[in-house]
Amino acid sequence: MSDNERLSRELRNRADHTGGHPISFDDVKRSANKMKWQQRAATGAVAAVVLAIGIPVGMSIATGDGNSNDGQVANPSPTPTETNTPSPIVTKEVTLTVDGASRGAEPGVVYVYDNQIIQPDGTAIDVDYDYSNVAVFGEGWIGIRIDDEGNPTADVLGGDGTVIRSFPSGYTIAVSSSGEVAAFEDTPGGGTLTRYDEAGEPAQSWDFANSVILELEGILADGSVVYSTEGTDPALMVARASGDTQPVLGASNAGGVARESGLITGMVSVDEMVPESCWNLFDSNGALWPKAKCAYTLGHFNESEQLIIGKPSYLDSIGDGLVAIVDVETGKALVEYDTPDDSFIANSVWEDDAHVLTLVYSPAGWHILRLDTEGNIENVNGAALPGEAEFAPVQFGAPS
Amino acid sequence: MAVAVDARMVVAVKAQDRDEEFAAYMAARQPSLLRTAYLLTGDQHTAEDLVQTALAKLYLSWDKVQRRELIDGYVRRILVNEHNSLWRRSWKKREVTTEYVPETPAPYEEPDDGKGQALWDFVQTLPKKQRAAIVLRYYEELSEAETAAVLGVSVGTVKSQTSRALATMRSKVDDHPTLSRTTEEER
Repeated sequence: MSDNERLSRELRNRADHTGGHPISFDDVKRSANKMKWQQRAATGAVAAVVLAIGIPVGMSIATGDGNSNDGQVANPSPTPTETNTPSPIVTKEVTLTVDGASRGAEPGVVYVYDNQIIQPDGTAIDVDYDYSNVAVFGEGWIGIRIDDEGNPTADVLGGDGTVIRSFPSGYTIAVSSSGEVAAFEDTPGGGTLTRYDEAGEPAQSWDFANSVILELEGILADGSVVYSTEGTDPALMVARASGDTQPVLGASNAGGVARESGLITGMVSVDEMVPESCWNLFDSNGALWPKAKCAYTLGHFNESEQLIIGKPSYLDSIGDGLVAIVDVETGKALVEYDTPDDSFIANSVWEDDAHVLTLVYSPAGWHILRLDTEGNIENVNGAALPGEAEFAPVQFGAPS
Repeated sequence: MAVAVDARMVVAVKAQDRDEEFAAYMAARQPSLLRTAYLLTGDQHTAEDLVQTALAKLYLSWDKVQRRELIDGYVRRILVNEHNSLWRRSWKKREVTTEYVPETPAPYEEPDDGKGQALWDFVQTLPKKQRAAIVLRYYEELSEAETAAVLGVSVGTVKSQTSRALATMRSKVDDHPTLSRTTEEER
């Protein structure tokens, strides 16, 4: 008997003697739903940004011909017109570890930890759930909680954290840097997308007759809401202030939405086989980069809308191995932070224009680390936060 | 309103058809996927986790796979990729281990005075990618080209991975039939 045959025979013998519990279709669907929301949470629309309004963009965009992805955004918004020759970017590579990191200040954004909403001034409000998204909403808060089945519900909370109203929702709410909030209420056979002003009052609503859940990506300066739909016909759309809706052609969902410039990072393809996803930058005229870029999943914009958080090209929902700070103009990373093999990243958000807060798990426990564009790391929480790796103990929220 | 109702019905029917089609595929292929996953992981629980994750990813991508005859290759690739990512879940105690050989999951009669066990122990010490190449070539009986396509590597890489594994097998198993474990460092 040849070596090959011996090996084949042994493998068949072993395989034939394995049993295992049957996996039900419901189990698989539940896993798929969880994956979907975990990926949503990783690229989701709730950016932790500071309240800085109307900062001039003034950046240059290498427009290219947009030939590969002919996107169109419904609401024309200011399109950068200056063009500079970008200087070559050499990506700095840094190992993302708490070892050797200096101690940093408390997070400058709202976050949820241990059933409390904690504000930058240290004030803590007790709540009943560890909300996955939370944002200031009028005198109180709005948060998204996910049940064990992966189903999302939005809670409107009073200033003391008590639930005032709950409704079935998508996995995300959208928050603008000005403090506007958009939420989707899922109703039987339809749903309503509502944009609320800074006081938490309804400013505009769009009704949807089809039973489709909207995932909210961001709010533009003119009041338009960027959202995506999933299911059989996924699409990235803009609900215009005029009441119409219009697709961003060529993109299926967004990683980030820049309120002032109207720029959107849109996913143009995903390939489970490689595995990777490819992204482009869209404005009202379509895709800006001549070719889609596949090195990173592109997430939130920073306050001045010149940098984007980059995550692994393929988000496999089991934790990220890197986070990068990517230049909007070129799509190249200024710095890439890579975790050691025994660690992973649960989430990353902008704290201010130049700093990213990232939640990292290592065998020592959970740490919030502050990263900058130069490759520096600060340890925000000091001693490791306890918690199982499967459940990130901190959820970053929107600004207070 | 009639238009809206019709549209809702179309969406609902599409979703139902999709789920039925997927459930039928899943029922037919699950036992085979579990066996392959077991050979990749060497652990029954991990194999179940792996298959459930791979099927969930397949479910999310189901509409994108237009050519149904490619689904088996597609799900195998997800399975292998997912397994190769398992290091990032090393915190799940029951999952993965390369330092210790897992126990045999089911009663198993040795047909050849312990050599089969030594062979199985050896397979479990292989690096993940090499092991995947071995499982796909010698259990799934895929061609070198098919194996390369699933692994996302060249045919040459498959040849070298498998021949290296066979050479090591000859030297370790045949010369030392009591081989039971090899450390990560040794690899």
